[in-house]
Amino acid sequence: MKYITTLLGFLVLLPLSANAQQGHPLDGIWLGDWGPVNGERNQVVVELVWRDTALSGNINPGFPDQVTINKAMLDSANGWKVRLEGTGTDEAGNTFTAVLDGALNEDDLGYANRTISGTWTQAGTSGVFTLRRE
Amino acid sequence: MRLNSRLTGISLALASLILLLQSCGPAAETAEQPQELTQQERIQGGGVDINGLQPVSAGSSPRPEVIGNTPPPRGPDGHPILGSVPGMIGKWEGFGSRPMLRLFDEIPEGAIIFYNDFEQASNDPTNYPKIRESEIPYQPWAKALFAARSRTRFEPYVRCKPSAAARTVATAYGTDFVEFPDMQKIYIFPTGGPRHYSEIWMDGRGHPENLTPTYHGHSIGHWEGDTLVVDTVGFNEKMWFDSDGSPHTDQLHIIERYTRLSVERLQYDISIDDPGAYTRPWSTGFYMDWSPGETFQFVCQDENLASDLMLGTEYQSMDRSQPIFP
Repeated sequence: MKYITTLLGFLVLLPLSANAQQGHPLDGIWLGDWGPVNGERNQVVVELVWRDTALSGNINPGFPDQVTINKAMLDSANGWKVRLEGTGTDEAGNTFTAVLDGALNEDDLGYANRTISGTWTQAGTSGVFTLRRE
Repeated sequence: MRLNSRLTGISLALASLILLLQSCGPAAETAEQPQELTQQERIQGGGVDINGLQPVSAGSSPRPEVIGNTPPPRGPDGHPILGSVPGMIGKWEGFGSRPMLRLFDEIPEGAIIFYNDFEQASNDPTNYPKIRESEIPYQPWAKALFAARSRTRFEPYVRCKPSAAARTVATAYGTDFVEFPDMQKIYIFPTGGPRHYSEIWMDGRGHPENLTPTYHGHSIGHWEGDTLVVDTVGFNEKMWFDSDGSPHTDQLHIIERYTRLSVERLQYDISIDDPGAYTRPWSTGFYMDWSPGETFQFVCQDENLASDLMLGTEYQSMDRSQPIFP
């Protein structure tokens, strides 16, 4: 539950026009958490931007554990699978990678607050994640 | 008993007034050529339908039996008047144009298609030559999203969200155009929906930098001969620009062309350029028919009968005190 206060502060700063966008299914601000099934959950913010034919973004932008997304894939022909890969720097200055492997939930695909769920792997630790679009 | 007598007297008086107006006013079918229109004349509306004996009510708009070739009325500047003029009150009906922007030569799996007689539609020379579904240059995600939308048809318009572009002009109960030359603006008023409108700047301005995305975007227009050309950017992603569910992003750039071919027919052409959703620009359109009779006040949030579409429930009562629908 760390960063929850600063995450709320981040939300306040979001431009209103970024909310409830329904263009590219991954474009937008996503909130959620990840971690072991029965372990501590890590709150996250994922910001994704779709321009022309490319997706870019960050995980926890502006925070010490920010991850810059280097690769992003959406397979709309096969169950709306999503794969995001990125790199960040920990407090010791070491580079780590984060990989999100999941899929958009087809039941809420038409809603502004749709969800993605799957497996999150970061710095050698794996867990499950769920993100909901804001 | 006294109240009933009073109401009867009022009804008789109204009926007499209606008959008097009919006998004095010009026939609605006559396309008069006004020399000059005042702003009051342009915005005059409400009250009694001069074409009939009864005020216009929902769904009762008479449709012309024959699409004629009566020359359109023209304003002082010589351009065709797209909307009503005194003696010719009406609105444009495009609601029967389904599917709105395409002909389905291929149908997404599981899609709910209200109308698709592809052979008849594509071979009828009186139909607008719409683009074929297979010709639309979707990006892969947009094609898949369109298919998903076709299965649910969970359109923002039926949830009382403003629509834009093609969905603004092709709406339930008709669409009116009101021109204000002195203000250098044109407004498009769709009857259906949440009482919204499009605003077109005709003063030669360009699009502002750093637009805040909105439902209708920012529209600038000019005349090319008898065609009103409207260029719009700055759309948000909360609306659909057609009832079919064509995806878009906030990079959407639309150019619309309105040509009043006659009193009875309006040609609507639309060009869609969205590099975030399509691999190249594409164009299509439809015809709209003039329907005599006034528009009426429809407020979607209060009068939409498709409560299951609004709230995602079926056969349940809808709490109309809830002002915000998802």
